[in-house]
Order: sequence, then structure tokens, then C-alpha cells
Amino acid sequence: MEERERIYDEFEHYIVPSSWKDRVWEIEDYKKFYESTIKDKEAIEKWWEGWANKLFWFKKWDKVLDDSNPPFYRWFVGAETNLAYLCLDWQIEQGRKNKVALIWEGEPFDEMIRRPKEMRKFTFYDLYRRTNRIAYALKEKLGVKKGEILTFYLPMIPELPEYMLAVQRIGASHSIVYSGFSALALAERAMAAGSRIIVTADGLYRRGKIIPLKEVVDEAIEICEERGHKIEKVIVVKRTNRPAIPWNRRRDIWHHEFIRYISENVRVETERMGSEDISYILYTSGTTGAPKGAQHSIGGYAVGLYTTMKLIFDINPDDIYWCAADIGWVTGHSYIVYGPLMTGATAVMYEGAPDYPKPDRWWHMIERFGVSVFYTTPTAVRALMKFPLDYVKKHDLSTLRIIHSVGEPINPEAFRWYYTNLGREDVVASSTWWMTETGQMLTGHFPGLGKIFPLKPGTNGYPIPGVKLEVVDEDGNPCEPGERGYFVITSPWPGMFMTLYKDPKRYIDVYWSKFNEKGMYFYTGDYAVKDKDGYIWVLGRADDVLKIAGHRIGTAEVESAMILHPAVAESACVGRPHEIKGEIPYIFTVLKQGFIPSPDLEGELKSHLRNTIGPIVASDATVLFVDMVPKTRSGKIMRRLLKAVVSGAPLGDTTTLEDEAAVEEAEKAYEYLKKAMEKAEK
Amino acid sequence: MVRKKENTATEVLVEEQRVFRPLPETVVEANITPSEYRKAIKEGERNFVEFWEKAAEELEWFEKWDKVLDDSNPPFYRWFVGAKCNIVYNALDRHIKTFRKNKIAIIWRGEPVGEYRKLTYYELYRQVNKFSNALKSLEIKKGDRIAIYMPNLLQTAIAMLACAKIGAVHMIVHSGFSAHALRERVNDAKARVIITADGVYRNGKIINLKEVVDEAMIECPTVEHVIVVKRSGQPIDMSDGRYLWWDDLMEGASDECETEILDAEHPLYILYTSGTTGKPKGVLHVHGGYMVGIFRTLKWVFDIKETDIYWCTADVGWVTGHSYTIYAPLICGGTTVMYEGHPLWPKPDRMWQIVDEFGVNILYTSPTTIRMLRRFGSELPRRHSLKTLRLLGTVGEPINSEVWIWYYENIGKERCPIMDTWWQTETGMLMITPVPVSLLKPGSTSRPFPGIHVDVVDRNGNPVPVGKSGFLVIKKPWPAMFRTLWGNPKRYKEEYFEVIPGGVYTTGDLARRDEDGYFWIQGRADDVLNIAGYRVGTVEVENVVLSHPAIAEAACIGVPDPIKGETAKIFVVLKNGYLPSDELDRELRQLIMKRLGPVVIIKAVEFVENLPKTKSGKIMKRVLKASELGIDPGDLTTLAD
Repeated sequence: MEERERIYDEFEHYIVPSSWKDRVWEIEDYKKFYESTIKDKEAIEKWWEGWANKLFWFKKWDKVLDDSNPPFYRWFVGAETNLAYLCLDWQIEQGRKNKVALIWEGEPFDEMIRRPKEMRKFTFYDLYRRTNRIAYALKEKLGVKKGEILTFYLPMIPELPEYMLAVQRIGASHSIVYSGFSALALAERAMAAGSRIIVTADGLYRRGKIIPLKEVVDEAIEICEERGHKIEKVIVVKRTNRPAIPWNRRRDIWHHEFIRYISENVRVETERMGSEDISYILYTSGTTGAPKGAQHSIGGYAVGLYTTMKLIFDINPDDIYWCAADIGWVTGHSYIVYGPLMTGATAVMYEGAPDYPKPDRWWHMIERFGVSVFYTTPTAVRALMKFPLDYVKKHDLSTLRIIHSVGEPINPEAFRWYYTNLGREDVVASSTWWMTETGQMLTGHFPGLGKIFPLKPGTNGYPIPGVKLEVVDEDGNPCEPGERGYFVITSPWPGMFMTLYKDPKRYIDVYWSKFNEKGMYFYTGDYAVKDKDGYIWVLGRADDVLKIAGHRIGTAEVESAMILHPAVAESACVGRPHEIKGEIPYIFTVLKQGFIPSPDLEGELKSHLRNTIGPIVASDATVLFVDMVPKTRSGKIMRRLLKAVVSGAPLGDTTTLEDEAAVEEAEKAYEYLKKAMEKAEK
Repeated sequence: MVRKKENTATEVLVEEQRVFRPLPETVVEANITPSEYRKAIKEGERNFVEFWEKAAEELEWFEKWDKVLDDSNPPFYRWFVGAKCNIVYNALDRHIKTFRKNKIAIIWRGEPVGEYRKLTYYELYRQVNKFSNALKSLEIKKGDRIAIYMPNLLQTAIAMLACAKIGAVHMIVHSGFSAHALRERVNDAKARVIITADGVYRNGKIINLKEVVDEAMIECPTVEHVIVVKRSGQPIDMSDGRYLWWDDLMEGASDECETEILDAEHPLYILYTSGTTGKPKGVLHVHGGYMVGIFRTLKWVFDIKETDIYWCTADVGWVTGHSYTIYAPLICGGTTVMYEGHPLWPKPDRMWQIVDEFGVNILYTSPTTIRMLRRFGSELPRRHSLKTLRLLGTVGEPINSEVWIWYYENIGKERCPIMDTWWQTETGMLMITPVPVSLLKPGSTSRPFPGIHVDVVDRNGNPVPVGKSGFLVIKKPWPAMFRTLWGNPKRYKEEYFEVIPGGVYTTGDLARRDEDGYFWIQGRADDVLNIAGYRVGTVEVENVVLSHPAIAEAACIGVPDPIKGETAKIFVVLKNGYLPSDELDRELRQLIMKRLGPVVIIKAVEFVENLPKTKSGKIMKRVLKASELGIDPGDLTTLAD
């Protein structure tokens, strides 16, 4: 127990931003309010129905929640709406026609004048007209119909949200494949979705370089054809103007030619979509087997997004909101495109790398646009933390008022840096928790309620009202406060995925069967702890828990402890198989600038671990100094890759290796780390 | 100047009979309904002071007025006496606190194809704050004059608003004016700074403005700094220590700046207007009354709504650009389009292309632009959808009924009412104008705006009968009126208020009023032919000539005749596809004979390629006349090309 208390020092570290000091919940009051929204099915329905009533519907629901066939829950049964209508038409009806919906910034940067070379603003009306043109072309030229799924393999350019909204308008669906994925991954996903149309770009900009995309699509199409699936049409957006793009004249068409002769004033009738129709599928890779296509709804999804945009981001009409994710991930689907648009917000979208051409690109953007609400990942924070603070200090970030993070647990050090240097100790900063399958954020802080409960460094906050979340032990029994266990969701929520596309059995097996003796619990696969106030602290993937001689310790805990040491910039811990102890911790460590690897430092770090996290971890730990920790594009540590390195396994099928890995980078990192490890062990 | 002639009424020879009613949807959606409009007219007649006070209540003031109108020292009227305000607070600051913060304030369209920028209210606000601080860093203070010598650039709008924000007085000189004209105006206003650009795009060419400023600067003793905006990027000499780059000044400047709390009568800008004779006149406008006048008129006449995209094509070098491209749309929280270049570049359908590109809903332009575009036929607009347009406007000179009909049919698709507005640099705001719910008569500027008291009188100030022409005068003060001529209150009084007895404001225009109370502007008072004692407005002759299908533009002048005193000479520009011929000459003469009768004696019809025009597009008949008679044409600073 003693050991645990040291790790959970932050449990009782209450922080109230000065500008919020008159607007703070007593924890007990919030708890009471929260309990009132989840006390029974009726309360849950009432809560979500209240939010649903704020949205536009062609037709309202007959029933809020149909739970007659769990885990196939149905929300807003019988209702009709349309995501494109909510995001554009409805906003225009509310007078936001000439309000900026999207500010897009390209990566190329002019260092002479210190300005981006490209920056474009789209009003709700601009997007409305542009998506109508695309929708018209898809419908009239390619015969796209309600129910068809198109695959998008596009970088962070405005055409991506435009195509998303265009297919929503005509009742089709999309499956977006992250533009860093390989041809094989793309082919598998396109086949699984049954797409006959792929939308892509000639290439993309990344860290000043042009990366080809069209060639990858061509390769993927070959794979599809070998396996008997025909891709009929490829629409290509000209982004980089790269010469000599391979071209199949019968199959390929430039986007600008596709829409060229269509009037700016063309208007396509919006399909009235059933609440339970498919808005999109998004593939997420399983540990084993084929990628899983999380299938999302329309009505419930919209309600989930709208509510969380309001509660967690407290979106007001005058906000400038920036979610610095990629649309290739669910974060981008929900919180770059659909969520902000349907709340009428002004959202920033950035094409490139956070540290290009200099590590202050993001801070510069926050200053230039006057961003007020910011959403990023802990990894990005840690990566940018490594650079001298001057990069932050030279920018005026005083417009920020809410800064949240997502993607993995935020360690207290990173939280402090974020809160102090970005948030000037005066903003609401929290780590939200959710995943591809949940569609919407499920934990966090809720400034949108008008009052907040205190922040705590590293917490994921409280469950959102209307959703029951629990930490349970191996048998599904609730854990005591402070006791670690599996993180589960014990009531349905509107933004939830409906099933795995064309694979309902796997849907049940993967997500709903682990605790089926206790009830319909959605198994998140995460490991978490609840403190006595009811705050959730997610510790990492349950797979990422080290089992050292019977002790269970989250890798995130080890990493949080490591980063407390002044020499450590970043670290990644994985378990290395061990005959006797089961597993021992292996810690890849990146040092801050100015620190040099040495046996002394290694010894010092181990004693630091002993003091912070205890002897169980420290005595068997190996600290390996490396130049980098491999990460996915969205910033998650590639744990499966690390695991392969330390257990001497081959890299394996890269398409299912990590959810968000870019193949080449992964291969490079694998080779590099293997060598570093071999060298150290000699 | 009004010529003193014994007979002051001109003959009305042709009567336009067509009437156009607004569509039901226009009436239903209008900001001012027919009954509200009738009520407003009555209120304005009964108590115009109260009427304007009500309008003022809709804007924000730091302190309210003690008195709405002080008329104790006519013609030096003062409005909203004792009030504190700033036009920029109403145009920017107040919107930043609402959802309009992220709304597009200005869509700027460069002349080169594909070049545009959109600025939100928030961005504009921050840019204005930065430039305000930049001006402060040059020790510019309240009341200082700043000359702006630039066309429709975003920086022009930013500079105007920044000046107003800190209480400085801007003085825009049209970017087509010569070095001589610029110098004359800068020296008259004693400007401390000139803001210009390296080069600007016009008709596909780059015009080097900085060079013109260099030439003017040879003799501009009051100018301490020249701020240069980098627009075209061609190399220019910046070695003179007084020259500063705009970007350098902006770079370090803070984007926070307090808005100066100003007296309602604090000067906002000076705008020079050339008199027919003598030195240019520095028309002075002030913050308080001006903002009330332009706000009320834009809202009612151009019916601007939250969701509209509004495009006034005027250059900021003219008063229309001041009032209705920049200030009024921003005060209303609208989205205003600003176009840098020439309406025919690179192709004659540029305007229609821009309308479709941005989805323009309201288009306000000049008769001369429409005439120019009409020359290219109806085919060009037909290639564009123009579906988003719902309201049209014109200003600058009387619009001939044929041109009005063309505009109505081909651009407005018989759906959009045309606001044919009459006003002047001196009036600051629309004075005689329809509203969207009015019945429209092509060629008539409709009725006075509520609260405006207009009359048609003879030179003794006596009203002329309905249907007869006379001098157009304004009998009561209005809030957006100019307050004086800069540095020359005597000329202000003499040229405007002492021409016709009774202390009325003389517009210098001729007009008549029909039995419905509609006004028909007949041109400047000196644009009158006197043929054997019959007075005929040249506009009447032009109207008839323009009704001929071959004619694109026409100008009529009087030339001396030993027998008749004066006869008419007509210069005509043919539409594309028509060639000059004796037959056409005959047809035109017959047409005039048929429509105007034998009193109008035609000396000659001359076919020309172009007509000399002012930069704002008015045909300069003075130049035609001078060259015809072989005399000195006088001040040509306003002549285009």
C-alpha cells in the first residue's frame, strides 16, 4: 500500500485555475449530479434526450434507447437526420452562413516572412457549396447511392472534410484510411468495406518533403485485383503538383476536373437518414487477425458529439477551436470535422508536422489565429516539451482558455508543463478518455456545465454525465478506490459504435464477452484506477501491464516515474519475457539535450525508480538510452514494435502491427532499436 | 456652380411609363416592410430629429447625447451634441464579443486570377489594432491627417479603420490621380503621413504608385513618413529615410489597442471632390452622425442581413467606397466584398464570375459599369448562374431607363429590385432612393429616404410644379451631412447654402418630381441645352439615343449656334458588332425627332470608340465640350487614363 500511495500522490493534488475559482463544484455535489443522470435507464434516456432535442431532426424518435437486443443497442429509434445537414445547412439556417467554419493551414512555410505559404478559410457557406458540387458529381457522374461506402486515402487537406460531408449528404458512407498506411493496409480495408471508389491525392507534404500517395493507391488496387475486388474509379486531388503521376485514363480522374463544369450554385437534395444508418466505418487494427471496422451511427453519434463539444470544450460562438489530430483517426472524424461543425464552431485544421520548420509551429499558429480551445495528445506535449521553453515563451498564447488532451494517459509531468506553459495556470486542462469504438469522449472535465471540479495532474477526470464507467477486477467486481483494474463501460451511450462492419460475432466476442457473467459490460481493454473522489486515472492498455513476479504495474506508471527525473525527456517501458519472473521491465529512454548516456546515469535512474515506484520495478529494470522512441503519427508509443524488439520477435505484418504506424518509419525504428539493444547487451 | 439663367425649368419631353413591383418574397423578407416604410416616411416628415435619434439608439455610444441636433449656427449643424463614440467601436469592437468574431468581415479579391483573402472580424480587429499601434509609434495623434493613396487593398481598409480608431483623420486620394493632384490634396490637408503601395494591379498592368508619391513628395513639407505596402513586389527604392515598409511597422506592433473615446463631432475623414471650377474641396465628415446615417440607410435600402454577401464595387477613393464598401457593411456586421481591379479584367465577365464565385447576394455598382458591360451583350451574364443575387443597386449618375431594364432583365433576372440611389460626397449617405419594397420606375431614383426633406425649386427657391424641372435642394439637415470644407468654411457656406435663397442645401443637380412624388434626376445643372430658348436636359437626349439597339454609350453636349443659340452634338459608342454608317446616323436623328420632337436640333452625331470619363466613371462632358470648342478643358485630375 505504501508504494501505491507514492505513485498516486496526485490523487489529492487539487488544482483550480484562478479564473475559475468562483465556479467550482464541491466534489460531492458533482457526484450527486452525476449519479442523478445515471441512476436508472430512465435517467440516462432523459439526459441524452435533452441533448438530442437541441439538434435538428427531419423526424424525431419514437424511442430514445432500444436495449431489447444487447449489445446491439439502438439510439433514437425511428428518428431521421443527416450529418451534412447538421454540419452545414442547419448552421446556415442559424445565421452562421458567413462565419468561418474551417481555417486550413498548409505545411509549407515561408521563413523569410515567417508565414505559412498557404492558409485558407472556409465559411459554412463555402463548405456548403463545395460539398454540394462534390455530392452532385458523385451522384450524377459516378452513380453513388445511399448505402455505398467510399474509401478515402487523403492527407490533411480541405478536400477530405469536403468529401466526408459530400457522401453524408447523399446518404453514402466513408471509410478513411490514414494516409501513412501501406498499400496492403489500404487494399485490405478497401476490400473489407467493399468500396469501388477511392479518393486520394497525388501526394502530401510532411516535414518539408513530398510523399507520394497515388502510387500507393495504384499498388493497393493491384492487390485488390489479385484478390478479385475491382476498384472502378480513383479521384485524385492535386495537392503537390508532383510531375509524372502514373495514370490510368479509364479509371483515374482529377478532382478539379471531376467538378469543373458543375455550377457553384448547384444544390443536391439531402438524404433523410435513419438514426441507425451508417455514417462511416473506421478500421482499427486488432492484436490478431483482420482489422476491425467500427461502424458508426448517425443520430446517436451526432448527439454524442454535440454534447461533448458543449460540455468538455464549452464551445461558444466566438471560440477558435483547434484539434491537432489527423482526420485519419477517430479523433479527427469526431472532433475536427463533425463535432465542431455541428456546433457551429470555427475549427483550425493543420496539414503538417508540429515542429516544422521550427519547434514553435503550433505555438505560432495558436498566436496567429488566437486559438481559444486546444486539443492534442500527451505525446505531442512530451515531444514539444523537449525543446527549449523559449519556443513557447516567445508567443502570446493568452487567448487559450481550454486545453485538453487525448490518446493515452497524460503523465503528471507533461500535464504540469502543459498547464503551466500553455495554460499559464489559468485554463481548464484535462485529459479526456475515449476510443475509436466509443465515438465520443467519455471522461474529462466539463467547463460547459458552468462549473468545474478541481483538476488533478494526470487524471482523466470524471465520467461524462449519462454514462456509467467502472473499474473492475478480473471477475468483474468493482474495485475499491485506489485499486487498479479493468476499465469497463456498463451502460450504453449514444455515440457508441453499432457493431463491427459485417462481423457482429466478433463485435460481441471482442468487446462484450469478457465480463458477460456480470452483465453487458463494454470491455475497453484499458487498465485504470478510480480515486476516492471518483476521478478516473487510466493507466494504459491492459496488455501493457507488466506482470513482474505476480505484481501488476502499468507501463504508464513506470514512464511517469521516469520522466520526473530531470535528465529524462521521454521513455517507453515494455515487459521483456523472463523465465522466472514472467516479465521484467525494459525501459527505452531518451535524454534531454545536454545529458549524455553513462553507466552512472543508468544507476542514478534506477535508484530514482526505486524511490518513486519501488524496488519491484527498479531491481529488474533495464534502462536503454536511445535517440528516439518509435511513435505512431498520432503520437502513441509503438508498444507492439517495442515488444517485438525486446522479445527478439520479427517485426511481423506491418499492416496490423500498430493502429497508426507508418510502415517505413516502423521498419526503420525496429532496425535501429534492435541494433541499440544488441550493442548494449554486448 | 449653377449658371444664372433666366429660365430655370427645363422641358420634359419623354415620360417613362413602366413600373416594376417587388416580388412577394422580397416584401416578406425585407428589413423594412411597406407599412414600416410608410410609417418611417411620416415620422421623418413630422419630426426628422426624433427619427434620427431612434436610429442612433441602435448603435453603441460611450456616452449618449445631450441634444440630437444643434442648429443654432446654420449651416454649421452639429448632431448628437455631447455624445461620445467611435465609428470603429461600432464597426469592429462590438462584433468581437459575439459570434461575428469568426464571421468573414471582408472578402478581398485581387485582380490577378485566383487571388483572394478572407478576413474575419477578429482578424480585421487585430490587424487594425496593430496598425493603430504602428501609427502611434510614429507619434500620430488624435486629429492628425493621414493621406491614403491606394486602391481597394485590404491594407486600405485596415489603415482607414486604424486612423478612425485612434481619432486620426484619413484622407484618401484615388490611386488613379496624378502626383500633382495628390500633392495639392496632401498639402491642403497638411497630412503627416502618406500610406501607399509599391504597385497595384489595374487592367492586367502593374501601376507603380510609389513613383507617383515620390514625385508628389518633392513638395510636401508636412509629410514626415511614407508607409509603403508591399503589393506587387517589384523592386523599388526605399533609401529615403522617411519611407517605411508597412510589414516592418506591423511586425512588432501589439494587437491590442484601446479605441479612442471621441466626441460625436470629431472629424472622421476628409475626401476631396473636384469642383467644376477652382481648387478641390475637402469635404469633412465626422464620427457620430455619419455612422448613424450610413447604418440606417444600408440596413433599410440594401436590406443587409446576417447571412448576406454584399458587394459594392466602388473604389475606396470615392465616397461610395467609404460609406458603402467599408464603414456601413461593417457597422451592420455584414460580409463585404472588396475588389481590387478592373471589371473587365481578364475577361468582360469578371464581375459575373466573382458574383458566382462568392455567391454574392447584393450588388451595388454604377451605371457606367453597367453600360460598359452591356456593350458585350447579354450572352456573358447568361454564362453564369447569378442565382444568389437578390438585390441590385446603382449610384453615381442617373441610370438611363434602357440600361436599367438591361440590368433588371439580364443580371437581376427580373427578380431583383434595383436600388437606384442618389447622393453625393457631401451628403455622406443615400438621400433619394427606393427601398426593396418600393414600386420602381426605371430611371427614377424614387423618393427621399425617410427623414430627408427634398424639394425641386426655381432659382428663387420657389417650388416648381409637379412634372417641371428645377434645382434639387435639401431643406433640412441630416446626420451624415458634411460639416464643412476643410480649412474653408466660407466656401462651404457660399457654394452650398447661399446659392438659392432660404438656407437650403443646393445639390447642383437638376431634377423633377412626378405626380407620385418620384424624383427624376436630370444631371448637373450645367448639363442643360438651351436650344432656341427651350431648356432640355442632355440626359433626356442621351436616354433616347441609348434606346437604339446599336448604342452602348452616349454623351450629348451643347455647341454654340449662331441662330439657335445652342444645338446638340451627340457622341456615341456602338455596341460590339455594329459599325458606324450614314444610315445609323439617320436612324438616330429620326429617333430623336420622334421621341423629343423638333425642338432638339442635332448638329452632329459622332461615332467614337470611347468617351472621356472620370475615374469614378462619369462621362466628362466638359472635356468633350472643350475639345469641340478648342478651349482649355480645365482641371483634368479626375480624368481616367
